[in-house]
Amino acid sequence: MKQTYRTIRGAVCRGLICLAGLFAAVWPAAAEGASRSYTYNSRDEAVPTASPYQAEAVLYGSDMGTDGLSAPADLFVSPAGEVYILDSGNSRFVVLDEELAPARVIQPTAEDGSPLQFQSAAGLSVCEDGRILVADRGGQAVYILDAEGRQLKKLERPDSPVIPDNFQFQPIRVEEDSGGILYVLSDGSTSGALQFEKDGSFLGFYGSEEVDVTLEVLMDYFWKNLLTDQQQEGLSRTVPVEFVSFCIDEKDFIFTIRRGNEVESGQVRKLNAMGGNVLDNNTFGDHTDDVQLVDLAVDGDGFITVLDGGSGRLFQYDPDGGTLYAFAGTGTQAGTFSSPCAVEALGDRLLVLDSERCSLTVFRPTVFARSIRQATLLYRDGRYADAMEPWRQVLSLDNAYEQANLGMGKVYEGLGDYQTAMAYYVRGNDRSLYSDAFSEYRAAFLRRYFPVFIVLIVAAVVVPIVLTGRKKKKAVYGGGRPKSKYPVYCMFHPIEGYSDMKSEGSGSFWMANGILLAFLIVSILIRQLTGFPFNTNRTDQFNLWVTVCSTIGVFIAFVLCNWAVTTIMEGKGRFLEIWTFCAYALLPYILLMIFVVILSNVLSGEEAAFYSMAQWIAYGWTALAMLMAIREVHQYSLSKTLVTLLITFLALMIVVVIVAILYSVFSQFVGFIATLISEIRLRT
Amino acid sequence: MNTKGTKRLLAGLLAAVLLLPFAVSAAPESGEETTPQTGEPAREPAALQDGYTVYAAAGDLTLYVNEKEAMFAVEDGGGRVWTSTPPAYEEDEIASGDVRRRMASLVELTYADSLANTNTLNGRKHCVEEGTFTVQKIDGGVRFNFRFESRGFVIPLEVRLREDGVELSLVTEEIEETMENYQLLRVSVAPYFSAAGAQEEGYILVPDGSGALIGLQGNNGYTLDYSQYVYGRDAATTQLEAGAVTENVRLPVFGMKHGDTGFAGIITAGASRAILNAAVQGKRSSYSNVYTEFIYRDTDLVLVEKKNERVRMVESAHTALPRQTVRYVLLTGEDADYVGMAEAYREYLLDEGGLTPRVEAGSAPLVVELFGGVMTQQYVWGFPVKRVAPLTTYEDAQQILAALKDAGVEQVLLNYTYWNKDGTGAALQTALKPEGRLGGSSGLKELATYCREQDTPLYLSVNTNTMVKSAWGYNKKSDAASSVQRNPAMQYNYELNTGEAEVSSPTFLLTPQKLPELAQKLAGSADSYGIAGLSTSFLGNTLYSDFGKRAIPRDRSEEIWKEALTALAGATGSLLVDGGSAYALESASFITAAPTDSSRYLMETEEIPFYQIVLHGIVPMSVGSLNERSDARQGLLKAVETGSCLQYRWLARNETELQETDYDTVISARYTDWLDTAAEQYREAAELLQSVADQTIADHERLSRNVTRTTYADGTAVTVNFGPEAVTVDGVELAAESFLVDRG
Repeated sequence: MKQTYRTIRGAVCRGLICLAGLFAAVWPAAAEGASRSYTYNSRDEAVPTASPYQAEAVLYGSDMGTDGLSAPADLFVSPAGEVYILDSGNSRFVVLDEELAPARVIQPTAEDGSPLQFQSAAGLSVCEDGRILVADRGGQAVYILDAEGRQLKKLERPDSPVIPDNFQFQPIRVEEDSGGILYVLSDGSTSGALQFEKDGSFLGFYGSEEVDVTLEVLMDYFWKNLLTDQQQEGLSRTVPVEFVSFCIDEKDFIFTIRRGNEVESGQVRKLNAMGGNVLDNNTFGDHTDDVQLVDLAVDGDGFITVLDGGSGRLFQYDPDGGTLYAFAGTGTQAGTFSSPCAVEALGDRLLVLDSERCSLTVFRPTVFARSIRQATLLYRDGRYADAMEPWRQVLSLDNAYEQANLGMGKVYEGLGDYQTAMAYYVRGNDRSLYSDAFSEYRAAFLRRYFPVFIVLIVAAVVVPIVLTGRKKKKAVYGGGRPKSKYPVYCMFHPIEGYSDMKSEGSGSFWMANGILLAFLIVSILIRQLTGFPFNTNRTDQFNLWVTVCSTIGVFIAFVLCNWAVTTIMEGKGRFLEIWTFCAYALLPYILLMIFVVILSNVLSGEEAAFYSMAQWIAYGWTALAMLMAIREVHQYSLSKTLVTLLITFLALMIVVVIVAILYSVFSQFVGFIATLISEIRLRT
Repeated sequence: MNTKGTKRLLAGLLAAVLLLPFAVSAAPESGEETTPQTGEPAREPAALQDGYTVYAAAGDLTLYVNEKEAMFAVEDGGGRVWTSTPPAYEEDEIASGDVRRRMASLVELTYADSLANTNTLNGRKHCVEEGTFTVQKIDGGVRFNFRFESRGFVIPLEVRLREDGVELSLVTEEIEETMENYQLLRVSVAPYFSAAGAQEEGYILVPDGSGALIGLQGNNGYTLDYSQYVYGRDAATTQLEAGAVTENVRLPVFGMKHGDTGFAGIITAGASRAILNAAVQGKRSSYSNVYTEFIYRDTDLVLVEKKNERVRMVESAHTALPRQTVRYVLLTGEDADYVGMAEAYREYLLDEGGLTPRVEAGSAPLVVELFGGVMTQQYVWGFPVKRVAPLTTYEDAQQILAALKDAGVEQVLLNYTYWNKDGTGAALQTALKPEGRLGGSSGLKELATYCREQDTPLYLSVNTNTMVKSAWGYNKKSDAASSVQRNPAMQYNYELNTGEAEVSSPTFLLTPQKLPELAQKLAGSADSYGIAGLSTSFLGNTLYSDFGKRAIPRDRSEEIWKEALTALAGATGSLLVDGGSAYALESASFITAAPTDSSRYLMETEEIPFYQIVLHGIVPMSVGSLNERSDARQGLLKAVETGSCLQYRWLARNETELQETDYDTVISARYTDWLDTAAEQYREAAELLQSVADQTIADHERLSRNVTRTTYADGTAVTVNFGPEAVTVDGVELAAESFLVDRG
């Protein structure tokens, strides 16, 4: 821009005149967004983020050196960096240069030189050698044109046994990979894209998605045979997959968007040459039931941008498919759309075509998006230390941004500082990354303190032997044990223990209450101290009342129900007895779960099997103890115990339902009274 | 003057001379004395087309009235003419018959029938063509009485000539509604006044945020009309879906420039009940126009839950003002541009708007807005408690000030928000009560003392309107402003992805009726800590009615707001106002977060700092917090372009506590992240900002897409390059994203 601007002072036309030939709308680069940008956090909540992109300009036909566009349908940035717009209504291509200044308008011509009219052209792409490919949905043809727009070839519905008879050839997107294979997406096709050889011969279908035969599919099949069409509309989608758009990146990976307006994972896929998806199974687009993804673009760095034609929102993902942010929307301001139909990346800018407004909106990344990109790429290149600064920058612009915390974590992990990495992963709320860093940390820790561990292990083995060797006492059977020994004795000898306890009446109510207190404390420990990889509780939101209700409360309800059920089923247990016996039966749980909590803090996520095994041992042991306790307290047979337990659980459920109903009736009553009072107040 | 329109005018003049005798004799049916007393026979040949008679003269200007067609025109000494209707409107090829009638109408009204369906009627069709109007000469002008017989409305409109232009008053108090089934909603006044023809170059000025221009030739084939409610949406109306993020209209001014004429339209009465509309030629007609639509009765689309449908409901009261007035200041030559329009409005504010210059030479402080405490649900040893999470304690505030001083920031102004008891969870405040968890009374006293020692003005923000809970004497529902449904008007937060209102946790707004009393109480306790003054983040941004039993229309609210602002300012003689809508200018000693952006509606072609051109050098201002813009550097350049002080919004700790609260948009406010940047920016801009603090902006121009130049009254010229590349301006190289000061 080595250009001298002369000050134009005066009344003729201040400001605007010197802009003629630039853009219609003049927004200094500082433009603030017309919509709120957000991202989805790890708890799947939409939370605000800093603004990632800003509308820099809105271009209309008059800014492109033409008289105006008519129903523009698609957009393509050519390998040479030029922007091609498929001006569908006028059957022509409008080309802009890299700076988005008008370059030329191409009028396509047929082989005989006459102007070529498209029926309803929907897709456009430009090949390395400048050839232009057009998918004409209405014309049921794909045109291959040279750089000047002269028709070279016209592909029509291929004649092949592979293609079903009822197949309609309605091309909506077309693109060529680096090997010269042509991919054509036909509207409504469920078999994937059609592949054509260079010479135009049909190769086959590519990238179709199989519908897994799940129970749901079978049920749907069953219902569909019974229901009317209208009723069927209410059913979920199990028809084979259709695609709305695709694009091919530099490495010949093919990105596809599946049709469908409900949130589901894998709606966007990145396919390798074999047609396999290499992208994480992320959820793309909005996490709502009103999704209408229409196009996607992958830029040179691999960042994926997806456009929702209904909400007008743009969603960007990192090269691994991790959610970055959502922005833009529908509206009447710069940076919002009416009916956006195509998105393309031009360097770090994004171009969005609006078919109704016939406009091209140019988005420029803000510091926020630029820093995210920079950090991601530096990390990818292994330049961990360099990636730290851009991530810091991102965090200063958005303290709550989980991706940046994870990014920082990865950087520190890469640098070998696992403890710091773990702290960032906790902030980013990612358990698997945390686990990885934790195993590294643990390995380092173990290596460092190896001799100490050896000593400790030896001690752990030797000391008990020595101790027990000295104090070994034979367990005393047949009564005469002090009351205080019973809880532990029952734990290891449930049958005799509870039986003796029943016959001797040696259960202590107060000891039972002590055990219950321990049960509560251990439950709190489990909630609060279970290691991060295994703990999905919000430790910052520990509510004692909830924990009390879900432990002691459930215990009381259970004992009450059991007492009520067994009284009419000839149970021999009195209420306090049941209380005591059941409490004693919790001891294995209490003792084992302390061990489980400790275990959760030394295991990583990969070793979850050990963790859940320990958990199941605790559950199983407790269940067994409980079963024995109840059998003995009521002097039942095993089968009768099981039956009463079943009824007890039913009763428990009824109690829960009744409590819930009472609660809701009560709160409705309160609400009613409140409305009544406010009504009276307002009317008088 | 070589435009088609003026040629037609000249032709018209000739015809007028020939037809003058007839025109004069064609007395209107009013029967009143209508013969113009020109007293200046030399002027007579200057009469316009047939039918125009001279009604008044003031200074260089002459007011002509077409008594037959109910139109008027103003001519200046140089032969320039501003007409209420485009002279050649009947030849417009784009306009339909109905649009042509609109063009020929001085009033167009919108009414509601008994089912609240709305409809419009224009004066041409229903009064002029029916002969149901009167024209009456009044002192300095003319009064039209339009009788819309079919719907029973009588709309009086007075046009008065002034030395600088012409004033149009809708005589609200004399509006008649004679049919029970029809309620008058809105009246557009002279919708095509001085409309620009299809070929004319120029622009429309709209006060969208900082201000924006709509180029007359910027028609893109896809052009929407512009329409904005002055001072923003009425917060007592229902909004169940998140609206677009837009800037509000801050100043009730608009304008148009075409050829070498132009005007500035200033709403001098009834601005809070006015909508500004504009349209560009090429869509409905060949003319571009901008005009005021006055609201007589407001409406609201409310959700009827039983039927689950939206129903329009009409406000029970109507505008309380005796008249709603728009004044057109006519501009010619060099003055006919947006700087001229700003000057016209500035003059109006200084002469009649009660505005007095209050800037201090050499003062351009860094405005630091601190976030005190946020009310959150916390769990202490497992017990749920709602309490304040301290974000910036009184001691933190001192530390931040000290750190700024160390970094070389000499002038600081501290605006402390949510410093009060319960932080964001506070009920309405009637006295200044500090929060214990932020440092308590002693901590606040210490901070106030520190600020006085350091010569840093300390402003404490007070909540005068938003009721998150009830307080003694201020029940959050019964003392709330009502919607037209007569329920408390609920204020919502909205889901980011679906845009739906979070209806379970609404807040309420205090009825305007109780505001003055609250403001008095607050003012009474304001000097207890020795602070510089109070600050309000609400009153300068939001204005609302009470559509309920109390029936307070927004024009009444505007008066109440002014009263409350005066009371708040009176406490210490100083008041900080956020946003700064026009009604707040009189009492504001400093405007924080003055608008620097427009909404960037698609029909707008350029963003201009109109707000600052009007007010710079009169009222000190700051830009919106730079750490909350998408680009702090660009924000600094905006501040430099507009001569505004820099502003940051900070907190010192616990920023994660803001997540999952209503304040979760505060995501970039850790002061440690920004202190260095702020100090650097201050060092870069302070000298300039301080030196021009008391200078008005004499000129502003855009040299190219990314380069602007602001010239102050003392000749200082500041050239700003917003672009990502270096440019050469007048032979001097200007680096990317930088500015250049030329001391003239």
